[in-house]
Amino acid sequence: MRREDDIKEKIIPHRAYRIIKLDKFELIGSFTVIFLIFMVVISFFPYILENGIGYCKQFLDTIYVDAVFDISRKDLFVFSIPYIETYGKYPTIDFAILTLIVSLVLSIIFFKTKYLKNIFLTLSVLTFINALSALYFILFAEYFPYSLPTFSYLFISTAVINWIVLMFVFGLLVSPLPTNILLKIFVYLLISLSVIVLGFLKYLLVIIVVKEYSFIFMPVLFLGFGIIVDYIYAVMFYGYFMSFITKSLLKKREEWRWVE
Amino acid sequence: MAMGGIMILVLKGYIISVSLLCILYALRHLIFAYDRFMGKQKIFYGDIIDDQLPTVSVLVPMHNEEKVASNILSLLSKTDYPKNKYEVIPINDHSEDKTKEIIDEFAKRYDFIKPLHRYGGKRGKPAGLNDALKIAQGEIVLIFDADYLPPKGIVRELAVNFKDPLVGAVMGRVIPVNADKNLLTKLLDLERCGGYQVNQQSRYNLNLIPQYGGTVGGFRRDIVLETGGFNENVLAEDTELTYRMYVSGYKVVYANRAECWEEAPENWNVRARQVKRWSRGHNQVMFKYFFKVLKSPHLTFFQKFDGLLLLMVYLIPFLLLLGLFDFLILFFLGDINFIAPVYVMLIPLLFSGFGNFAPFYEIAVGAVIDGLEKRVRLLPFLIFNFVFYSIYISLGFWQAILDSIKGKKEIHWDKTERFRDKGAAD
Repeated sequence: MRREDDIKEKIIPHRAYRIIKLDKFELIGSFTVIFLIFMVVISFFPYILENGIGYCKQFLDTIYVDAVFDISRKDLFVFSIPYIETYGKYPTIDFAILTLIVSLVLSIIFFKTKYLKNIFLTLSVLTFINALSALYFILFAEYFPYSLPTFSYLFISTAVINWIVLMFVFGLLVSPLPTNILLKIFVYLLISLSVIVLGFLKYLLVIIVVKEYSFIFMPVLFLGFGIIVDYIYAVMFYGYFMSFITKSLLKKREEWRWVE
Repeated sequence: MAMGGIMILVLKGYIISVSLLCILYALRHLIFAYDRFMGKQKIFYGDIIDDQLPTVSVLVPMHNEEKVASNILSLLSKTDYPKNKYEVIPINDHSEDKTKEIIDEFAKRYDFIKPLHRYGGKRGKPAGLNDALKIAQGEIVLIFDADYLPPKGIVRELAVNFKDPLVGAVMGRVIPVNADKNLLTKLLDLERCGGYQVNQQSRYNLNLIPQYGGTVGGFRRDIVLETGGFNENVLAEDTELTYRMYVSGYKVVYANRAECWEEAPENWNVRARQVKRWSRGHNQVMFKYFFKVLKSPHLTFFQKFDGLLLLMVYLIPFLLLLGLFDFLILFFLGDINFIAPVYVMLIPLLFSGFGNFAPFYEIAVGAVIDGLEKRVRLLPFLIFNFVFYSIYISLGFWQAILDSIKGKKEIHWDKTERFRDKGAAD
C-alpha cells in the first residue's frame, strides 16, 4: 500500500471526493422492504379511510349538535372513497365584498413586504386567489360548481392520490440512505402516517371552515391548504432525518469511501 | 364538440403535458441524486501534477467594485501558479467609484497585474471580456467575478484540465462565503450545494452537459476568438459559451474540488433582479441554440436530450405558473379532476430550488455529502421559493421574448449589489 493510501484510510475524504459506501444486497433489500411496506399501507387504505372519516364525523357530530353529517362513498380507481356529506352556505354579497377588500389589501401588503419575500409572496398569491374567489361570488355566485358534499369528495379524493404519490416518492428517497434498515422503516412509516393522520385533521378543518364561513374559501383551501401543506411536513421529517444521517456519517470514517 | 368542451380539453391537455414534463425533470434529478450518492464518480484533471502548465490570463470584470476589488486582487496575487505564465487583467468597466485607483495601486505592486480601464464603447460584461481578450496573452482564460475569493491553488486546479486537448472549458465549484447571514443566504447555500455537488458533478459523471458558469472557470482563448468572441447582446454569455463549446465538438469539465467563495445576495430584491437577469439571458440562449443542439453531429443522443432539458430550465417556471392559472380556471369551471392536484403537488415537490434548479432531494444529498448537518433542516422552506422564483423567472422569460421580437441589440447589464464591508475579507 502506498503511503497516501494509508493516510486515506484514516481521514474522512474531502467533500469533493466523498461517496457513500453501500452494500448492493442491503440496497436491494431496503428497496424491497420499503416497497412491501408501501403496498401494505395501500392495501389498508380502505380501512384507514373508513376509520379516519368515521372519526371526523364523530368529532363534527359533537361540535355541531344540530347539524346532520352523513358518510357517502364514491369509487376512485380501486378505492371506494368515503366522504362527509353535510350542508354548507353561500356567502352573502356583503361578506363577499368584505372578503374581496380584505384579501386584496392583504395581498398588496404581502406583496410589498421586503422581508422573507419568498414566504410573503406565497401568501400574497394565496390571498389574491381568495380575492378572485370573492369576485366570482359577487358576479357569478349562481354558477359556482360545488356544494359542500362535492367539495368534500374532491378534497379527500385528491388527498388520497396525494398520499399515494408522496409515499411512493419518499420510498424512493428513503430506501438508499446509508443507515440502519429499521430506522429507515421507522422514518418511512413516520412520514407516511403523519401525512395521512394530519391529512384527516386538515380535512376536518376544511369542512369546518367551509361550513362556518361559506364556500368562498374553497379555492384557497384546496390549493394552499390541501396539497402543498402535506409536502411541507413530509419534507420537514425527511430534512431532520437527513440531518441525523449527516451527523452520524461525519463521525464514521468507515461509512465513506474516496472517489477513485 | 361545443366550444366549452374544446376549451376544457385544451386546459386539461396543458396540465397533463406540463405534468409529464415535470415528471421527466423529476426522474432526471433523481438519477443525478442517486448517481452522486453512490455511483461511479468521474474526477476532473485537477490532481495531475505537471510542470508544463499553459499560460493563463485571469480576467476580473469590475463595475463600481470598490467594496470587493482589493480582496480579489490581493488573493489572485498570492496564487501558486508560475508567475512567468500568469497575468491578471482587472477590467474596469466605466466605474465611478474608487475601483480604478484600487486596481492601479495593485498594478504598481505586481507586474503581472495589467489593468484594462474602459471609459468608452459598449458597457457590460461581454463587451468588457471581448476587449480584454484582445490584449490577453494566455492560452487559457480564467474568469472570476469581482466578489469572489479565489484560494491559492485554484488557478492551477482549473488550468491543468486543459492538458486534454478536447477540453474547451472548465467550471469550478461556487460556495457562498456569507451563508450564515440570513435565511436567504442559507437557502442559497443549499441551492448551490445541490446545484454543484450533485447536479453538475452527476452531469459530468454521466457524460452529459456540465455547464460553464461564467465565473470560477475558464476556456481556451483561441476557440472563443475563432468563434467570434462573446456575444455582446446576450446576458448569459456563460450558457452561450457552454453550448458553443458542445456544438463545436469540445467538452466542458466540472472541477468539483476547485472551490471558490462567492458573496451570495443578502436581500430578496437583489436576488430577484439576479434570477430575472439569468432567466432573460438563459432564454435568449434557448431561442438561439435549441435547434443547433438537436442538429449537432458532435453530441450523443443523451447529451442532446440533457442539453435540451438544460436549455429549458428557465422556461419551466413560466410554464408552471401558467399551469396554476389553468388549474384555477378548471376549478371554477367545476372540471377539476385527479390530474390537476397531482400537478400542483409536483410543483413544490420537484421544483423547490430554482436558483440552481435542484429539487429538494438533490439538495438533501448534496447537504449530506457536504456535511451541512443543521442547514439541511431548512429544506421545507424551499417550497416558499416557488412563487418568488416563478414570478421573477417568468418576467425574465418575457423580456427574452421581447428581445427576440424587437431584435434588441443594446442590453443593459444589471450589476449585482455587493454587501461586503470594504476590506472585510482581507
